[in-house]
Amino acid sequence: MRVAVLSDIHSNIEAFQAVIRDIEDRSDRILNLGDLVGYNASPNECINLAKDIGMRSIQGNHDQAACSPILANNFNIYARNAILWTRKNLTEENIQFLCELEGNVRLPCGLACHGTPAGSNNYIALPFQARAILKKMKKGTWGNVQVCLFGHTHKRKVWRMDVRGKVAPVEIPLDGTIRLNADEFYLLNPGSVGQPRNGDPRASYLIFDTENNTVSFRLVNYDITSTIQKISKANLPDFLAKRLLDGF
Amino acid sequence: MKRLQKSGKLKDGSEVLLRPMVKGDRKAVGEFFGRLTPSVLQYVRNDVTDPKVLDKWFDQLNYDRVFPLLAFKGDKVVANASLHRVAHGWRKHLGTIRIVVDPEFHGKGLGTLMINELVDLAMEFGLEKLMVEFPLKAHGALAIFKKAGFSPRGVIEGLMKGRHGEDLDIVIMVMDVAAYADKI
Repeated sequence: MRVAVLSDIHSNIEAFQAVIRDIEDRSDRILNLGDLVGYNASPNECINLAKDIGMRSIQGNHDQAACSPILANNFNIYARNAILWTRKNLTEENIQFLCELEGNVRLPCGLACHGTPAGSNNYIALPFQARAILKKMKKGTWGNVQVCLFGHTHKRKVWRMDVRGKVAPVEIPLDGTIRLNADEFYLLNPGSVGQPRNGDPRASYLIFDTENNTVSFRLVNYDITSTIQKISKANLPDFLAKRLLDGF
Repeated sequence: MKRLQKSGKLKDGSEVLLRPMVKGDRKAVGEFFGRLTPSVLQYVRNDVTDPKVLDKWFDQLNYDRVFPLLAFKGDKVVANASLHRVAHGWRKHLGTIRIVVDPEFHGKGLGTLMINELVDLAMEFGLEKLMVEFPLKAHGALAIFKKAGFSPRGVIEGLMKGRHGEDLDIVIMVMDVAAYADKI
């Protein structure tokens, strides 16, 4: 089975549509690791598209905050501003959709979560954080899981624990394809569709081929100008628009 | 600024409003620094008693370079903190923090509130590390920054001078922003 894994779409309909076009017949299923909304200006359009294509989605921390605005008090000033705008502009039906999203999902291809399997607000960004999760995977904390798909950092990343228990990041080759070893444990982050932070403004996602045990990272151009114009029209902070151009 | 603000709760249960400094805050910021005693002002990097210095701050507001955060109690500024960034080069990943809190609000958790907000913003801005420097004898600041996730990485003896000409030891504290994120 080939699964297209998306994350952190963040109300960016132009990026989301471009990724869906790019997926074409490359995958059998589409999985979203959370944060359909927040930051950008097309929350209803993104949720409607997610529904239309039958995409399975996990609840991210921004989805949670759109559902329960009191959680926005834990966000920084920019993220809070955007999520309160989102809440105000979402239809009742789409708020309900976000509230009913699942937490972690156990799939045949592995475990899927937003931040970490322990919580959608937690990060896997540093070696000690990756090591903690991989050790738990090895111990079987979440069942027999060798691959954990995660998002939240907006940075595409692969962490590997080898047979000796050594944890290290895996460099993503230029062609974007990595072969996974059956006796090792992996953490895979597809990057962000709607607000990439790898220094490359293109929308990022991955295709996980569970039969061939390969992961292919893909980067997709989209109409950033339209996204920026919508942010500006919505009176959201300029910073949220400018960062899309730099991809940080 | 369009709702770019949030409220925060102090230890005594009262609330303050946090928001970025905007041009219209010139008078309130001037009054804030005007209330500070020389013993506090000696540690402020710029001569904020000079109106021209403040005028320059407000003329050159640029959040990409310096993000100034104010805390308000009613119309009164009660703390001023800032996150300084460099757009290019070897310090691009590093932010530095400066903070001044009205002595009337010391011990109420306001400093922690401001620092936590700047750390959250540092993450949002893609910074990896944060640095702060202050006199080693400022034990209150040491405790607040430790609580916020900073750790002391060095002391430089006698680097600075106090207002009476005495030597001051400086402590440099650093935090890993992504590591902090794991704790929230």
